[in-house]
Amino acid sequence: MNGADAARPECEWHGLWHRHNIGAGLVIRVLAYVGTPVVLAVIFVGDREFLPAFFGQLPSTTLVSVCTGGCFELLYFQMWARLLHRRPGWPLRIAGHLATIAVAVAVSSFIAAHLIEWIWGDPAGPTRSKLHAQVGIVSVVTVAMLVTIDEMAARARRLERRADGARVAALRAELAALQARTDPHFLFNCLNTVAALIVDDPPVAEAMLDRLAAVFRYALDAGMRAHVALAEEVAAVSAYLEVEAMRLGSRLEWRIDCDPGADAGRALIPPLVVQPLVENAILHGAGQRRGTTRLVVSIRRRDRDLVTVVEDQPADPGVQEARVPAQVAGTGTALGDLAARLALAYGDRARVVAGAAPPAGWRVEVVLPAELA
Amino acid sequence: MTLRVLIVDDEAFARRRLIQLIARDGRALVVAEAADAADGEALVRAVDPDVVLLDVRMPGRDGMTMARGLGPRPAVIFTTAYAEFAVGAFDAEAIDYLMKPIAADRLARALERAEARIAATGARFEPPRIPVRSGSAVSFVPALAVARFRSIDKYTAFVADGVEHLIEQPLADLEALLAPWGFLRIHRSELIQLSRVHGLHQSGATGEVELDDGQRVRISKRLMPSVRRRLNR
Repeated sequence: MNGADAARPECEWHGLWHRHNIGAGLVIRVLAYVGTPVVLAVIFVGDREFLPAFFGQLPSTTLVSVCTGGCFELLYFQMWARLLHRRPGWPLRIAGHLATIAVAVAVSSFIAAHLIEWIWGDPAGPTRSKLHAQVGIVSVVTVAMLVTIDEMAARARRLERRADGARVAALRAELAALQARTDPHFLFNCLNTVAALIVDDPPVAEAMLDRLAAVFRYALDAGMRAHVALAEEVAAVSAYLEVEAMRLGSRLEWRIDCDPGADAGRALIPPLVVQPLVENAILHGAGQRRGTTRLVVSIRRRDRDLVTVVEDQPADPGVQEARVPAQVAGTGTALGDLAARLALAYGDRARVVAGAAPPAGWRVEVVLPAELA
Repeated sequence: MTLRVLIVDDEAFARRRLIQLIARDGRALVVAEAADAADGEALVRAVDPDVVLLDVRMPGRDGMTMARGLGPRPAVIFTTAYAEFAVGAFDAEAIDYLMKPIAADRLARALERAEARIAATGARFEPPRIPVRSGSAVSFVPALAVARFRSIDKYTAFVADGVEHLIEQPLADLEALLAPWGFLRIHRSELIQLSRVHGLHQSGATGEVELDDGQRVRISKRLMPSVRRRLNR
């Protein structure tokens, strides 16, 4: 269920064996395929009888090396590596490697024997057969080791990249959360209203500035904390709704029902959980209706959960006014960001459900695990 | 030249702010206000304003859609708290795009621009003046100085700068002349300047408007809905 992983092509899976690293891959192959017989010769340098015979056989041993190594690579990358994408456990992994090596040796010995007979004309004698078998096995083991090392390096890189991805995602969520807490348009609209009120009704302008300050003080201060008391959030939401009620006049009636019997006020919640719901109800509800909108915020304990419901309804449901539905899915929307933020904090123990509420309104329910101070 | 301005904004205080700023600036006159695009369009047809100050986000159709349906006249100046509609405003051939909170100098510059564009078409808009005969002399009273025209028998009476005048011009003629300048017929025998209305008193299907000098003028039952609509009450 890792979206980022699935979306990203595994282009570095083969590391040095990938087409992007064709130069380095070629060098390593030459070293492995031609080097293996040479290394063998150096190891057996004490065996005087063996050495001349060996160098005399260099072309054919190299052929064997290329055959086994190539066969292994082919089997590995065309079949086994694909199964590796399913992330088997280590025992299965080792068994798979060994099986690939065994099959590669069996197939390649058959191919190599026929090639040698075809090129040099004579069937291999027992000494040469033994030599070819040694070279083949050493070669395939060398290549298998190189492939494994390369795979491990690629795996390390992949893990690192995934960690980077997670860090970026966390930062992005943090940024989104920061943006969610101060809707600049709300501020600008309110300042515009205050400017008008300063001339017409200075006491109301003053009251509005007080509430506005409370809203933004909370938004800026609470953002620094992981948790706030529900009562603090409710106070900020009240101030926010008072401001909006001044701005919208008769177009907004509101009420907050906070269940007092269940320690709801003492509950701890992440900051700005109720606020974006109310902001959305104003933006898409009251702001989109000419008539009066009734907005009810209800906060209750339900078993071990804290359930917040925000519902807006036109006061006169007879006047069917289009309400722009709040977008729930995806990031970049207030509800989407909230859902992402809650998922980071609580996993699947938190949920955000939004939908049309008869007769003509919209309802959002947020369920959180209730944590008491 | 006095620009005649229509304000379309769903927020009463946002309209109020524009009225205050325009009154202070002095080169334009708010002749009508609307709280949504549908009313706005009706008023564009009814009063034919030179300039529309148009909010973008409103209940029902948004200001951007309304502007695209308007054609070359009136000149559109958007007023919004949102920066992201600016591209659409350019597309709708708006004359300017003002960000809320509206700054007085930005609004003045936008109105100057509108004025320049209208002047380029050769049109000149001067507020009408009412000819008043006294003896053999004729003097001209600026209509915008009058809060209320009242028909008495075959005459029309009005007060300007504390002086009462009586003219023979019928109220219907004055209404045709002054409707584009923010005057509204509220009764068979009453024509008032909307920007001078201070309050609205309703009693059942009828009521009175209170002018800024304290006088109260009755509203006929038939015209009550249109008065309420124009006052956005």
